[in-house]
This record gives sequence, structure tokens and C-alpha cells, in this order.
Amino acid sequence: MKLKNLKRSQIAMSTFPYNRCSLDYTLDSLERIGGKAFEFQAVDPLLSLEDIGYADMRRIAKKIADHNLQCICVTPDVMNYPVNLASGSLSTRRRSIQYLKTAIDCANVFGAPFIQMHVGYSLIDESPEEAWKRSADSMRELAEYAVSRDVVITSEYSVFTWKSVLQSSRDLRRMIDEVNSPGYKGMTDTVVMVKIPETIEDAVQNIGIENLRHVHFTDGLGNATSSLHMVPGEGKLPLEHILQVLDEEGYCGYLSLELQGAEDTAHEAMLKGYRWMCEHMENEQESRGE
Amino acid sequence: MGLRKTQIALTNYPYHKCSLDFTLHSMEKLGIKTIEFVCCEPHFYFEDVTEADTKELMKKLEEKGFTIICLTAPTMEYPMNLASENIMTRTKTVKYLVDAIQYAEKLHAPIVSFNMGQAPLDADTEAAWTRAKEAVAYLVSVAESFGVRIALYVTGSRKSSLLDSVEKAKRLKKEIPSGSLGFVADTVYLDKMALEPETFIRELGLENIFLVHFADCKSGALHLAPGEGNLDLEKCLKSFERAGYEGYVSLNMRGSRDPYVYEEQPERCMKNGLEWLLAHLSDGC
Repeated sequence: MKLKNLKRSQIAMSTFPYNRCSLDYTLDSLERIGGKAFEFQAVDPLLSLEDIGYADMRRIAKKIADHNLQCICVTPDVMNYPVNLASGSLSTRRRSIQYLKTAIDCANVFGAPFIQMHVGYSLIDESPEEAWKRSADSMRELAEYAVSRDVVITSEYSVFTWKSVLQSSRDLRRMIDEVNSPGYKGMTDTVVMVKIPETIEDAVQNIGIENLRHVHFTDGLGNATSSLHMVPGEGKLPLEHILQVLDEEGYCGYLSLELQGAEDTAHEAMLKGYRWMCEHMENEQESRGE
Repeated sequence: MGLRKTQIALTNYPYHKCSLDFTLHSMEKLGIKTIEFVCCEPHFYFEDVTEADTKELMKKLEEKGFTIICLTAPTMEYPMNLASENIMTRTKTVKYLVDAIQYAEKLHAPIVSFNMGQAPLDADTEAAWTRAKEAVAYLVSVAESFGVRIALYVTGSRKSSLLDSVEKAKRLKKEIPSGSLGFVADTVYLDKMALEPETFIRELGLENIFLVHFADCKSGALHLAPGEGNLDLEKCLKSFERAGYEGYVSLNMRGSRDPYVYEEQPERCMKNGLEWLLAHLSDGC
């Protein structure tokens, strides 16, 4: 597929399927695949934000550089870990904010322009609007911190977990407008779109292409109950159409292979995904050697 | 003598997107007074609670007549790992579990349960085993001095625990021969290991099985309410009975991520599980 604007240099591999591997294995694998940019999911044992200090950030930054890789986004796990930026407990919220500041510090030390995350959730028996206000307060503080570290937060929305504060691209846009900071922008996810449900056109229109800074690009089963994040080409999503829309809109962020459920075959899955992306992202200018 | 209704324990695990008050109120309605208490955020995460929060929890438990039969520290879901090669992670995890033992004493819970730890798939598992074993041995010695017993999961999966088979559990028990160290017999993990409860208990010794986690399972959805999966749980109960098990049977239902069935309906899940057990256990005391 010939593209006018999107380039192969916008493809990002990721560490998502490597969460049962060591960091050394993971970086070796990504280097062998041949890409350069990658999204770094901050989960134990790869990158444990609760345990990391500046010295370890520098140590990991050197490992990344030694493997000729470029971390483009740090993605802290906030859905499974005890972290909630919208928590009604002040101590939980303060600890969560500190945890995210560490993610921003990591991005800064790794030279990554983005961190990516969810903004929290409300409990079943509490007011969603109150949770929204607490989440927005947390995001304003984090956005200010991100700006001071030359990092941009790209916020995710999802119905994946019940009561997520941001449940659609419209919610995300409302939060972006409310936080109103150059340090706080948005992202979308090809699998999540189906679950909302919304199309890539909806996502781009609602978020605004100027605010869309990151995309999780994976295949899926195409139904609202499945959260599978599959290798592109192995599912049912209209991925070529999504690429075309992003190309026409002039999207200039990364397309990241957030593969999930491939822990037993992480290298093979990432390699397949990366190859699919390369094959489908032939740029007219790149083809002409420009 | 079959398993009895008085052996049933509820758990707050499916309520982890509800407040503590909502959770305790919901479980109170179900009428069972014994609970396995998972120290998760937002209910009672050690990092965030104060002495006042602990007293408040104790008061609430007392008012509702609840007894904690096991305090569970989530080490599989949270970034905790006793086997971690990262010394900072390992040290943090040990401290977290020492906290768990101390909270167990305060909350009068006789058992603390957690995961021994796991190693990356490309790691030297023997080195990881040594690290985890040393940590567990230390925690057992702490538990002994607090009068608390430690129950570890035997998961049947290398990805989730170094303790992935009955043979490994026997090895650990041999290396740490303390009466305060035992195991959880989990119906889902037993199925994964293709082991009858009776065999598991015979291999490890009845005195070393401190708790039973009772849940159903079907492909892709782990730890469902009994009756919602494919396991032959009636056969399973009979096997526990034949083995002479007399401890608690905890409804350890967690649902699945895809979709998150129980997050939306935790009380339905707990009620269904409880009704299944009530229909299959005897009234004897």
C-alpha cells in the first residue's frame, strides 16, 4: 500500500509481549527484529517503577542505546497494579501521582518523547463525576511535571475495565480541553475502538489530529467483547483502512505494536507484526529514496 | 464425614472495583461470616493505610461479625516478586510480606497466603529458586514468631510461579521444614496440573494444606464461580473429603480479563458461588 505521509520510521515495536522475559532478552530480540523505535511497557521484570532510581534509569538507558534502539514511549501499568489517579483515597492518589512522575522521569532519561497511560477509574459505588474531577486534578499536576521534563502524556481511553474515567474518544477530548496543557494529549487503540464502539474517523474527529500523538496498532476479532491484541493481519480489523485514514489526516505520531497474549512466542509475534507493518507502510517518498 | 457449610469462606477479590464498605456490606448480606481478605487497593493496600485505617477496619469487621481466616497479599497481580533478580524489587517484596504477617496478627488472621515468586522465561530458574527460597525461609521465621502460618500457591504454570508442581512444593518443604509453611490447594491449578485433590494432599501431607481455593474454570477464563465453568467440582469435593481435609474452602473467584465479568457483578458472582457450595456441603458442625 502506497502512502503519502506515513513512513516506516513511524512503526514502533513494543515490549508488551515480553513481560515474562528479562530486559536483556527483550532488547536483544527487538534489535534482531530490525526496527529502532519501541514502546516500553513499565512492568516487572522489565521496568519496575516502584523500585527504580536515577542510577538504574541511566543503566537501562545505556542498555537501550547499546542495542541501537530508541524508546519512544514509556507505558506504566496502571490497570493491573495498585495505582489509581482518580482514587478517593488521598494517600493512594498521591502515591499514584508519584508513580507516574517516575514514569515521566524514565521517559526523560531514555530520551522518549511520550508516556502513555489511563487516567484512573471510579469505584462501582462512587460518583463518576467526582472521580473525573480527581482524575483531572491529577492530570493537571502530571502534565505540568511532564512539560518540565520535555515529555508529553498521551492518554488512553477504554471500556476494557469497567468505570474507566475515559470511556470514549469524546471523553478523552473533554479531558484534553479541561487539562489544557501542552504536556497532556491523547492516543487511540485499534482494538479499543471496536469496543467503544467507534471508527478511526470518529476517533480522529473527536480527539483532533493535532491532539492525537500515539496509536496502538494491533489486530483484533472485531467484536465488542474481545480485548485480544493480535498480530496485524491475523484478525479481522480493517487495518489498511485505518492506515489510509491516518495517512490522509497527516498523522505524525508512532504506530505501536501493542501485542498482548503472545508471551510464549514474543519474538516471533513481534517479528511478524513488524514485517506486516513494513509491508503495508510503503511510502511514496521513501520509495523514491527521498 | 463430608465437607461442611461451616468451612465456607467468602473473599473480597471480585469486589476490587468497589469500596471496602460496599464490599463488606455485600458479603454481610450473603450470611457467611468467614472471609479470606485480599489486601488489595482500594480495600487495604499496606502502602496507603494508617494505624487509624487498621483500627477502622477492625471495627467494621467486628461490627459485622466477620472473621478473617486468611490474609492474602496479592503478589501475582502486583509488581512483587520474591525471586526477582532486581535486588530493589526483592527487598521491597520481602518488606511487603513482613507487613502482611504483621497485619495478619493485628487482624487475627491465622494464615497469610502469597506467591513464591517467578522467573523470566529466559532466566536461570535454579538461581531464582535460591533467591525465593531464602526469602521464604526468612518470612517463615518471621511468621513463626508472630504465630502466623504461610500458605503458598502451587500454580502448575512456570509463567506464574516457581512453585509450579507438587514436586517443587515437596522440595521447598524439604528445604524449609517448618510447620508454619504450607500450601493452598487451588481447584483451578490442580486441574492445570492434572492432579486429583486427594493425590495433591497425599503427596504433600494433609497437615501441610492450609487452605483450599475453590473455583471453576473454562478455557480462557480462570477462577470462575462454581457451576460457571467445566470442572467436575462435585468429584473434586469428594476427593477433598476422602483426603480428610477439614480447613476452609475459600471462594477464590477472580473472573477473567476478557470480558471482566465479575468486576461488573461481584455480588452475583459471590452469591452464585456460595449457593453452589451451600447446595453441595453438609450442615454438620
